[in-house]
Amino acid sequence: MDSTVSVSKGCFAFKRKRKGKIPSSVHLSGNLWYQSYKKCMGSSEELLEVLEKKIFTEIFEGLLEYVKKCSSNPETSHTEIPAATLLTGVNMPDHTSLFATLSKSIQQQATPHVATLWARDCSSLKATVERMCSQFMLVPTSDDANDSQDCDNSSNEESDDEKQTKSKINRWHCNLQYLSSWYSTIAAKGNKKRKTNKLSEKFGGKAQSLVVIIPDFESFPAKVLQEFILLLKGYQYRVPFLLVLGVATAVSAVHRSLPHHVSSCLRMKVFHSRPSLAYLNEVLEKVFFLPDQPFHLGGKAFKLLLDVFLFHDFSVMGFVQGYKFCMMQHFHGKDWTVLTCSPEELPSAVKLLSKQDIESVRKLPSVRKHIETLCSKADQISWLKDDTFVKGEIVKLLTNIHKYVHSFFATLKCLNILTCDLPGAPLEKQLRSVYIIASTCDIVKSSELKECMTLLSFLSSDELESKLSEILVILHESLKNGATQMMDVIEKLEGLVAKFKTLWAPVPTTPTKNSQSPSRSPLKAVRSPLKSPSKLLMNVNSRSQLREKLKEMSTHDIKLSPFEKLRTEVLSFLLEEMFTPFLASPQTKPLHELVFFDNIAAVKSHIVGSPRQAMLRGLRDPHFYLDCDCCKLSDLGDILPTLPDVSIVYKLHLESGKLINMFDWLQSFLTIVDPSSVEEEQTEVDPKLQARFTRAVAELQFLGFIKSSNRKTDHVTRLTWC
Amino acid sequence: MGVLDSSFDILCRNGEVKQLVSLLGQPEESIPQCIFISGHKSSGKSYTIHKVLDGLKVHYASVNCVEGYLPRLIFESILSQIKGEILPPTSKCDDVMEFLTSLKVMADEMNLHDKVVVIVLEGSEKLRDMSPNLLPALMQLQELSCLKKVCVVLVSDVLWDKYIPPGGLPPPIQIFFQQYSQSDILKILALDKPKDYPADFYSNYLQLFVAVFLRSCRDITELRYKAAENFSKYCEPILRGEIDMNDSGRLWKHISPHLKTSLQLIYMRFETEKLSSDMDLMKPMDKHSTLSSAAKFALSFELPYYAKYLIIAAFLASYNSPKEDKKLFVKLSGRTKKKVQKSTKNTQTKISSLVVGPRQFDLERLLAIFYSIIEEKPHISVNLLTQITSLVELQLLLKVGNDPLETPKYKCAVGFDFIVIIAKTLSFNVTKYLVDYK
Ligand SMILES: Nc1ncnc2c1ncn2[C@@H]1O[C@H](COP(=O)(O)OP(=O)(O)O)[C@@H](O)[C@H]1O
Ligand SMILES: [Mg+2]
Repeated sequence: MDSTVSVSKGCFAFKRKRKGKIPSSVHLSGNLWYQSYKKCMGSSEELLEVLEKKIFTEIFEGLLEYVKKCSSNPETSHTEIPAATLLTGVNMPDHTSLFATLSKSIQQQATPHVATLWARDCSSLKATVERMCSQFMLVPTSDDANDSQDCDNSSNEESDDEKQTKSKINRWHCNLQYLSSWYSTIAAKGNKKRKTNKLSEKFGGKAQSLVVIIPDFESFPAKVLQEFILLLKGYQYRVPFLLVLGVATAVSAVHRSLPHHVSSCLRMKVFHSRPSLAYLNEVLEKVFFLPDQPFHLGGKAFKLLLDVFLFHDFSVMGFVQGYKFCMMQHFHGKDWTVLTCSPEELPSAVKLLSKQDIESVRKLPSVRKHIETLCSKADQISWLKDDTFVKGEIVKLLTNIHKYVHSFFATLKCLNILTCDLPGAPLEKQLRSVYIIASTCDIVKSSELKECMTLLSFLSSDELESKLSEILVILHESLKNGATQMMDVIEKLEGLVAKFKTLWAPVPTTPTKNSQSPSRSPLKAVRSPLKSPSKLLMNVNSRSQLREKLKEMSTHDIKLSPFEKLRTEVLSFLLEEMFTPFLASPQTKPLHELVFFDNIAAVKSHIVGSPRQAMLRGLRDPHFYLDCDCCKLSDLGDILPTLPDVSIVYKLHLESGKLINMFDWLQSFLTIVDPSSVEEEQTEVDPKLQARFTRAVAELQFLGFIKSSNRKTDHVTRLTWC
Repeated sequence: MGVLDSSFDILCRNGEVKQLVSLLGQPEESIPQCIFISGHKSSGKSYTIHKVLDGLKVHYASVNCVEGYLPRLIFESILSQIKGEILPPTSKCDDVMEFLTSLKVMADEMNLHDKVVVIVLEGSEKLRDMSPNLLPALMQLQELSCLKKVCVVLVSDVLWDKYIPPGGLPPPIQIFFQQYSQSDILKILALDKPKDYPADFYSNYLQLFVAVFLRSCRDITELRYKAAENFSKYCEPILRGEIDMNDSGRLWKHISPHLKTSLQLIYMRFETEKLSSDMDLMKPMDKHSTLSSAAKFALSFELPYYAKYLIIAAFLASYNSPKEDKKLFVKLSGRTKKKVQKSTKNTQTKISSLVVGPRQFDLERLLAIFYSIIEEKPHISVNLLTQITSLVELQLLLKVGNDPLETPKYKCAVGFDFIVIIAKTLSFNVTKYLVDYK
């Protein structure tokens, strides 16, 4: 271990040596990969920002209207405190930015006086009031409660108005009496040099409400909240307050923490925010599933992030952060990732590659596979030897991939439209899940798709037609975005759709028994009560039952109506000329590593942090974190005397049973740390070593591996088994 | 006695007003040290005392004792109200002694020695929780400050017998505010009559309104709010020209369903413009729904997948004793037989723990149960552990004790109905794991 200059012993963080104190961006900007990283990140951040803005304005629209209304005529709310209740959903990590944006928008559009009270700062009524008042009275600066705490009462007490406005408001004054007198001066005079007044002129110079935002209503101590509201109510006729309550669960949570006499101080209005799942879907559609982005998440990485979202926290923010992290990981330190760029930039990017970079590209697994599958020996050799040839090939392959990505996403959307509402949804309902399947395995050959195709072959003509027209819309759009290969498909599909029209024109003259009436629906003519598979399969309970029924149905009618023929034709067209060519998994494409990031091993520990594993690893293999030569272990079971004490003690305790004898433990510790002392059969233990041992045991207890035992003296209980 | 009672213009409180005026309205005679006013919430205590004091034109200060989180704020508020201006920041008044001094100085300055000064302390039951000598000192302010005409009026929702602190205090003059009768309420509500409607039209409406509401609520504040809210609904068909103003029968038919739904939402204080579109508010309205409120609560929001299992695990940990854990969660080894025996015994001997309430459990036990009821085994990641914090934040779990070094202990804050709903969304059978569920 490195030594420290500290006299005391303890845990020290050793920073890796830095080369200089250059800010990291300057430091990095010389690198090739950094340029393309910045471009890529910039474009997604831009998209995200636009989307976020749009979504926030949607959520806040009604709320802001309400705040404006209450704020512009505060006289109406003398009897009750208006309380806008925003139902936010349980995606806790997203709330910080949500309410920061809300506070900003209220300031810009409704009233300059906004205070945000987080439950963690408000453990008592006193703290709550102080925090609120200091935010109101110091409008320009934010987050200064800490500052206001150190300037204590009476020291520099000159109530010089000028000085006060500039310097911090004294904590002594952070109470409602002072606030109300402050408010009356604000309301009376409109010509002071405060920023607030510049703003309030903009709003007509009238007295404005003071908005108090409580973002995490549930975690607010109920008693504090009750008293706080009663207190505000007492001042309401002098100072028009307005509450914004952020409620994560449901409105009834408000009534669970506020008794009648408190809730009757309020006049609540409920606003809903968008469920975060809908928000995520929008983010996916508008930011991630865009074919012209040069960077995509592969199926595995995408699934990892989605799992965190669905299983853990519903946090869109977390998802976005994870995505950004993956992007960083993709680019970081690899100059050949300049190739992750739009197809137009490819030729210039490829010129920047050095010999080494080309070598790294050659080593990519997908490239190796590609080389092996080449049939001509000459090509194989040029791939391995000829750099300029490789550069040319790279451009070709990547251009292909980009084309493929376009058609892939378009086709995926089409597939999703076809299958999302099938009974039982064998191929998932959501595009995001279909994406995971398609990008991790060969979806065309999957049994799910086969099942879907069977189910689809029972669609009624109306359903099929409407689906096809939806598909055509998507395809046209993708064509506009540059999926030129889709041209062909569109033409053929349009031809097929046109056939639907002609289908109805002449009355089919098929001599079916029950077609006495010239029915508009030939399907009805053949199988009258059955219109759609959903109806048909209404009373089917299990998969096996379903399969049987389907089989039965497929063998039933031999005679096919023209519609049925057309339907078969359309479906086989879709399968063979759309899904099969365009839905191959990305992994089959050479150079896919450059466009699809799928290296979850590299990011998993960062995105899904696991403290216990980290701790165990540190104890088992201190070298991993300390990075010193003395702790290098050839085998993780080894115990070197140079390891940190706690690590030695930990490893020894693994060998024991449920109860650990302290004396034996100490002896084994001594054998390792100081072999000579034990050999000499000393009865006296070196007090220094004993102290080290005691401390290491205490540390282990603190970490939760052992606890003292009452059952046997001089024994401790072991708590973990791994 | 110079002031006529009627000039106070306070409905239905004649007795109380008379009493107050006789106590405080005669500056030439001696003034009581302390008056204790009690009565239900919203029975007009504050309203009456303020009106009387305004009418008597005496110096007075009125403070709500919730502000007493710092006693100094009460003192300063009193002083500045008597003085009529905000105190200079230099004057400090941290305890009773300083307050007395300042009060005396102020009395000298303003020549208050033979003027009546009244100090109204609302919500005064809070004073008992503050420093122990505060309440006795305030009750004897006259003696301590040597101001012969100062009187402290304590206003509280609590009766004196319940109010009196353990040490005991000499009982002050007490005035009790009775609850308003139905006719009182009608008279008071009639004060809010909107200008553009005739008085008997409005009183007709109030008759209907009070008939529906009075059984559940006598709180004037709430009744005033609800009356105003429903009156606009009552008038809607008239404004639209559908019902004649004098056709009280049809008006009743029109308003009665509204009144009933409104009664369901009493004290909830929602603005009701878009009530019908609001799913969350619709639920309490359908009376016939058999769901309990906890179940409705569970239905009204979505939790992440693991959070659902965590809350179920917390519930099981709270309502099973740790002794049963092995039997319940170690995979089905002869468990069923024993369980049957156990539960038959339980019904006779013990009260079901579902009735007793949640017991606390530590993190390790929570995680152990979590891992035994969930099929996939997610490893303990930061994300998983933060879910526990999130659940605490949402008040679905309660954290017990706050020693940062001990392993944290929790209690489950939701009941059986809630858990059943959550478990249903996971198709998970909770009752299988509950010892006390027959
Ligand atoms: N006699 C009355 N006449 C008019 N309004 C009244 C009367 N009694 C109560 N109120 C109204 O009822 C509401 C509640 O009264 P309040 O004095 O605050 O009750 P308390 O202080 O007892 O809780 C006030 O808004 C007040 O205007
Ligand atoms: Mg009151």
